[in-house]
Amino acid sequence: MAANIDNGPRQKQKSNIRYFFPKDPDKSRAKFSFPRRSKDSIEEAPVAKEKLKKWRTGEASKGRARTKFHSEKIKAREEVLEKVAEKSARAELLCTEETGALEGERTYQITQNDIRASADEATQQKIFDLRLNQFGPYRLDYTRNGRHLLIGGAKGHVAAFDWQTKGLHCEINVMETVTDVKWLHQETMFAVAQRKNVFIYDNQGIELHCLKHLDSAVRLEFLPYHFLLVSSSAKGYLSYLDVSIGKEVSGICTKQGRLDIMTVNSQSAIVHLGHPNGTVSLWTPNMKEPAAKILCHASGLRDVAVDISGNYMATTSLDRRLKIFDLRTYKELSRFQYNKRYCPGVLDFSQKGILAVSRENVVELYKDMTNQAYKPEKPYLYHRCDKLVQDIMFCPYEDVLGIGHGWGFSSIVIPGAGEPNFDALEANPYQSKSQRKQTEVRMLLDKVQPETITLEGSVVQVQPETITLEGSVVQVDLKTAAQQQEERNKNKFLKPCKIDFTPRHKKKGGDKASKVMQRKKGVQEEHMRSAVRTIVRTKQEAGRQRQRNKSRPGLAEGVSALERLKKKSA
Amino acid sequence: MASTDEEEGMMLQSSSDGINNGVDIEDDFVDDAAHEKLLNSLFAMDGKKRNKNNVRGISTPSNNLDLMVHAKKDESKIKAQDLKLKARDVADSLKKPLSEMETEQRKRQITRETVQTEMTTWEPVVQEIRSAPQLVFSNRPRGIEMREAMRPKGFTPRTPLEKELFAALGQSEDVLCPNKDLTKAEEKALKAMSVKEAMARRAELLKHHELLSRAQIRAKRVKKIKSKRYRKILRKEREASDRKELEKLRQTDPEALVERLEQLEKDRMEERLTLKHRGGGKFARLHKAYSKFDDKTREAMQDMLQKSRELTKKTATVSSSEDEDEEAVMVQEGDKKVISDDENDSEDKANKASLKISQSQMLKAMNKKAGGWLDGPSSTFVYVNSESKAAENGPDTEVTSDQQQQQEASDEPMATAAAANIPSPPKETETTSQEAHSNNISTSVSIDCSPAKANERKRKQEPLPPEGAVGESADNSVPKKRKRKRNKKKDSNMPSKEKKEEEARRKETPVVEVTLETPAEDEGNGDGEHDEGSEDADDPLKVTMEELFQDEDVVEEFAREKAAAEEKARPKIEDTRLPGWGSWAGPDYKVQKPLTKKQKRAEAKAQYLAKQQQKVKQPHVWLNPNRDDAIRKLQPKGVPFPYTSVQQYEASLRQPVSRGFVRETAFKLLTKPEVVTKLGHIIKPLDKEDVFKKKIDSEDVQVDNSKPVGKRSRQEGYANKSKVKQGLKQSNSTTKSSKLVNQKVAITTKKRRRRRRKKKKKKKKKKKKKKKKKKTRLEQGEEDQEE
Repeated sequence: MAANIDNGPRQKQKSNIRYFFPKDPDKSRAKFSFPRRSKDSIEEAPVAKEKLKKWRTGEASKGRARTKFHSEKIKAREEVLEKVAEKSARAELLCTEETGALEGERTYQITQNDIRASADEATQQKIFDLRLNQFGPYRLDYTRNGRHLLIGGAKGHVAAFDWQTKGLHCEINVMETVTDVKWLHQETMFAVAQRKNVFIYDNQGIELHCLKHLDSAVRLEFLPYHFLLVSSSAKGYLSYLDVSIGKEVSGICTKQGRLDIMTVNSQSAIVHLGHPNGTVSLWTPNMKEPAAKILCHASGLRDVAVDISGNYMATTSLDRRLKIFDLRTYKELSRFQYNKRYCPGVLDFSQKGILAVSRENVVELYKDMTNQAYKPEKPYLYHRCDKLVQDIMFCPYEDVLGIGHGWGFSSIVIPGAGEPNFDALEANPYQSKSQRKQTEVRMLLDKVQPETITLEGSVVQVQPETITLEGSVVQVDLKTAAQQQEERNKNKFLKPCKIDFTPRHKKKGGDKASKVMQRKKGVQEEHMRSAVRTIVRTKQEAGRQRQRNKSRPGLAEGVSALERLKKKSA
Repeated sequence: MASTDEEEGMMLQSSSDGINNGVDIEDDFVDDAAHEKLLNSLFAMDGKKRNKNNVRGISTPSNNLDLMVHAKKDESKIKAQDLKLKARDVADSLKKPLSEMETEQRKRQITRETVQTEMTTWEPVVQEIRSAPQLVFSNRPRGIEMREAMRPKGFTPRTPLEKELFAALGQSEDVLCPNKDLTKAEEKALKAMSVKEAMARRAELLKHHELLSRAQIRAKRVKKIKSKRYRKILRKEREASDRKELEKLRQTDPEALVERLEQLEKDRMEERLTLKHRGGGKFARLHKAYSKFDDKTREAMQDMLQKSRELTKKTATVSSSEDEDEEAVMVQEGDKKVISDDENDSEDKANKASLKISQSQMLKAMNKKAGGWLDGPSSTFVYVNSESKAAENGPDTEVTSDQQQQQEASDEPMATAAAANIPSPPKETETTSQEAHSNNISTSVSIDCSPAKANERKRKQEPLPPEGAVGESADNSVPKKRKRKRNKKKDSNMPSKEKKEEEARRKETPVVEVTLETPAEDEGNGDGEHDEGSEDADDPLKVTMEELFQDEDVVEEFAREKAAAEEKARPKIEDTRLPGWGSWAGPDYKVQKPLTKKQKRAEAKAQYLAKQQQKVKQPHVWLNPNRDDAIRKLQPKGVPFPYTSVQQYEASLRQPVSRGFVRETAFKLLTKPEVVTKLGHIIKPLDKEDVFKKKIDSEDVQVDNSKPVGKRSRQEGYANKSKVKQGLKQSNSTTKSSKLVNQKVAITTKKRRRRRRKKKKKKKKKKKKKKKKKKTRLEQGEEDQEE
């Protein structure tokens, strides 16, 4: 037997580089040559600490395991994880693209024409208008990789196309009112909410399904990791349909009236509904009640948007205000007031955090709205459309904003809106057909169950900092665990469990003898302080008593209680 | 002599004993030794030495049983038992053969022991294999390693050019080697001098080095001093010296002074931002209780406050006295103080004027430093809220537009009634009044102001609507003093929970509202539609959407809904007793029955819910207490086996593994296979000889190294060495073969392998040396033998 044990991470950083190149097929004399260095002389430059910290996913495990063997295993694993963080940090180098931006003070003066005049041809192609003034206000949707566009006019016109090459997939008229359109997991299928039912078409415009139990849907959303099509109806009915098996996962009667404001938190797959009483309610498919309710405005809502990190929510309402909320603490971060008669309408966050707000026929774009310290009072960019804006959406991985309005669709360029580095395993704009097929299979294999949707949970990871274990499946159900342990410990014939389910938060170096001493001292001081406090209290009390008794004849200071029994004449 | 006497006595006694016993063999057999002794003693009395002719030959062992017995000193008598055959001896010689079962047992025992020892020797080997992250059953190299950056360990010149350069530059003579007293250059210089001079110079140099090292050591020691008092004194000294220096700089170097002042300004800003010395810190909290009783602590507190005052004081050189006053007031009244705008403006102006007049020189210097950008037009930051202004009221200048001033005025609820009095364009008043009307919150604030209504609310047990959270932060602009008074009154008769809520609300920093400006209006780029819009806004009869919907009291509705939901979620503890139960005992009788299981559970749940509710204190948020029920079903209910804590378990699962989450290289690392095999490669069992030989080898080497070198031991060492050498040869040959055939066992970690490699190298060196020595030694030995 030949068993070479590779102890991997335990060995030091120093290691030799091994290059393996295939032999030349033509067997010519050309050889690869490398500067030869001795094995010991190679040492990798260390990664910056901050970078490492950014890529670390959480705290390392503390303490020993049940057995020595397992302790060692855990330790080895920790070393591997540290190395993973290091590798990830090093791989940052490969994200070469940078976000664009407009520099200068009054960037809002720059119009699309200016951008078109100065930009390269590829960018120029991204600025276009579709004049479709017959079929009313349009709604739109981009695919997850940002390559394909679906537009649906209120009067029945639906068209799907690759907007970059302007290649049309299909164009149909459904001969019914169209309230919303949505791509499903890929560009091969899309759902259209029509007057009565929701229909699913393929990319050639062939009707595949008629979903009769999603009746009078107003808004559609799609959760790609769960394969759930979410529809909210005019009758206040919210339903989740699993499109991979065609089964309705859950139908909820919200009792909130017409649900025409809906958005999805892409991180946690929570559905946000906006209501005319100024509240935003958060829904999961697992409950018949909202998971949370936030009163955002004192008047009816216009629109809700959640940013890509899932931490911030923007709302607009009839009180002409735009507010930003932190979804981790549910606190209001900032508040913006529109002056004059304008009322902000629909909202959307770009991948890089640019917020688009429409007001009537104008779309304004704001940068850094989620930053509490920075409060812009002028927009970053500003675009005026021909007609009332109905829907806006940023194109993923592109600096493009799509606007659906009364006279059709227009695409404008917003420098710095899209994520410049795409992860081809996640969403690939340059996907080939075979890749698409492959991805579909993979997506289906990786499908997440709807039970895992929770308020505190996180499904997708955009940046490592955003990973939260809270509320996720890997977390221990502390409440039940503590209960079970308590029950078990009551049995006297069983060995009592000792796992502490509420680990005390101990800071670094808490175990040192000096620290222990310090803590002891602290406790002593605490005792002393409490003693002092009681003394002071008693004194105060006594003083108060004295003060009160002063006025009373028999109880004044220095007078015995028996004094009153004495004869007064004497 | 005494001893001989004794012996004689003994002899006599023994003979008499023999006589007594009546055994008459004595005459025939006389003990030779005893006789010799007797003769010797007799001769010794004469003082002559007796010549004894020793006869060589075989000493005849006396087989006399009696004498054997008598040779024992103590037991001079023969006892009856001596004559008996001893049973023990008999048993020894004639043992009963073990039964078959017993022999089997013994055999088994022996085999068990041997096998056990054999197996325990394997234990560490197996342990190592099990705990290894990866087992590789092939020597085929796999994969490519990528490195981002390389750093050479040290420079060793190789090419001739490099060597030349290194010789020229790298070997500087002014570097002090760690084990030498003087540098090369110094030594050379000393050589050049005369002896006497050199001695003096050398002494001087050594002294210098010594002083340097001492200073280093001292600095290290001083750095480690933990005494707070010492640090305090040091700090005071430094501050004093700083002050002096500043004074000096003021006269000599204006540019450096500017720099210093900037630093001071920065400190001040930091202090104002953090309020480190304002009593919120740990120190202040801890000493607050003491400060009443202890003079020292009180002093310390005072010092702290003094320091904050010092730090926050504007430097006289930059700002006017007026400003300082303003500052002081602000600090006293807290950060929420409102300063009217015109005051602000005037202050700015005064600021500028003073700057211009008094410190023109300094300004120039500053400007020079900044690169001239100060000459340009001042930046125009427009902030609506007064608080932000107060906070920002630093060195940078601010301009407030009239429009925003109006807005501010309208924010005050007191001003709503007098809104008409404010001289402003009609459209402005229109909007402001609308705002005040539309905003439920401002009205609710006014409700709160009147104690009667507040009481009424309490009686109804209705939760207070969230004033600060939802609508405008109107109550912020209410003068601080009045608010505090009101709160006090409230506090006295408010339940603790409400008090807490109130506190939480107060702690929350109020959200600053910013007015968004529409750029088109400002630019005035003549859009027809836009013009229409402005006209519309001017129209006083126009009714806005807000005004249309202002009657709906959304906030109160939400509060009611929330209360209802909370009430619903609260578990009810039902009284399951029959009606009339216990009533016979009279009204004063109280049943003290232990809670049932159900009730206990309900209580626990209630507590849990209360805790959950505590997490979110905002009045405008309702969290469903059952929100994590679905996920809880999927979560593990305890900590699985090898883990001892929740943290450990959760930490073990914290890293996502798939390609979608981590980089490809990291993914490979995370999903490294535990066992790597090669197709067609036969995996043979571990070869005992191979495994243990190696271990023995390494141990031997260690023993060799540790042994002191004596003559004897060295020779022994040789013996060992030769063995080791043999072993090595074997192992070497095996490694070679393994490389060829892949049939080699290598159960050592790389580390150990490396260590061994090093040792091998050492050993090889030693071997060479020793070979030589051995050779010579052998030759010498041969020569000796020949001699």
